[in-house]
Amino acid sequence: MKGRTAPWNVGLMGAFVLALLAAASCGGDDTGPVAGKVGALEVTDAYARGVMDDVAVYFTVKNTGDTDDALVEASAEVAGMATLHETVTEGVNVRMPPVAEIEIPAQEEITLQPGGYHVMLMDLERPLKEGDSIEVRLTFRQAGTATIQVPVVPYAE
Amino acid sequence: MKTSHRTRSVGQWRLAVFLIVAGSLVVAACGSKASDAKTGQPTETDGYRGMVIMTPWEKPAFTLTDTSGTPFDFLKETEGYVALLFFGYTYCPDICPGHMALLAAALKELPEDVSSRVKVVFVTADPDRDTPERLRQWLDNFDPTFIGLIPEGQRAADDISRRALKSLWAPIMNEDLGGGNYAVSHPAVIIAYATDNLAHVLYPFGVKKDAWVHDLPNLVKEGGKEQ
Repeated sequence: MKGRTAPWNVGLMGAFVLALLAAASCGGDDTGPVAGKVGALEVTDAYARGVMDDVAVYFTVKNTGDTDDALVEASAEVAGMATLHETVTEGVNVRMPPVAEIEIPAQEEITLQPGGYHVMLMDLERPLKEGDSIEVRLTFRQAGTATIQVPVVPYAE
Repeated sequence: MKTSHRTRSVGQWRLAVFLIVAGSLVVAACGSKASDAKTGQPTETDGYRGMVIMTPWEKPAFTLTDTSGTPFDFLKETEGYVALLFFGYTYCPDICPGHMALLAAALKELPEDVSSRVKVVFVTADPDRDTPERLRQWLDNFDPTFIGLIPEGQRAADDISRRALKSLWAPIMNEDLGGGNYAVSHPAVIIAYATDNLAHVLYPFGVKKDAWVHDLPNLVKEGGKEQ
């Protein structure tokens, strides 16, 4: 499979992405607020979704400081492995490459959400279910580590 | 193949993105209105909230083993039904369960005369890890009637997705995550074949339950095969 790439016409891909975005905007998500603070960063609206033994964690990070920061690592006691990912759409295909970091620029707010960035928990010691709350540690390059409680929620409508 | 003529209503969600891909014209149509293909008169369906394929695609022929170990002939088993075809994998934490959960919720909401005429067919893009047992257990989290199919190797899944998605196809392949884990790149769209055995609509990731509730009855009616 190595080395096979899709010969995408850039304009076409752009149009398709627009179409995907349009379709993605046909409704709204709602999630409960769960906050954690470290330094100039505030983590809010955390939630996790998953089926069986793979779980994605989403949240919003607001950087109220004047220094750029970045999420560089995540971990959770329930998971043997946690990695940062970006869901990347290429035409109709979707990839989920790992990313080394997620930038949190000064005075900006970054939201991890389905179809975008997420923290993926793998090798779970037990399957999670709706209503569970999991402790997730987020390490930022400048601010240090924030520990947040993340509710496992059903898929939004 | 019939030609569809669709006009779009002006509204907040109006957006039409035309894609000319090897003769296929796909339109993103949030809140579109349909008209009868032959007469041009408005039909009782009011279009689709998914992305309409203006020159509908034929169903690909394939037979794969289902989660009970029985051969499943896609053409034969979905004849007369709306077939919703998706290529995904159970270790997918984001796109695949999202699609399946919303689809399951929509089917529960719809009357039985609609939901009983819809078959959801999930072809695993990760047959190395998705055993029949695992895929069945995963699908049962959403809806026990969802059909899980296991190709013999990822290349077989890729071949079917290429035939299904035609010029929109991009390869199914693995991406190493370290620690023995890997992610699979796969189509994010659900392909909707109506009862006329043609794919009329694509549902990208992000489509909402209400869009399914709106569109599925129309897909059952599409092609004049209403019972």
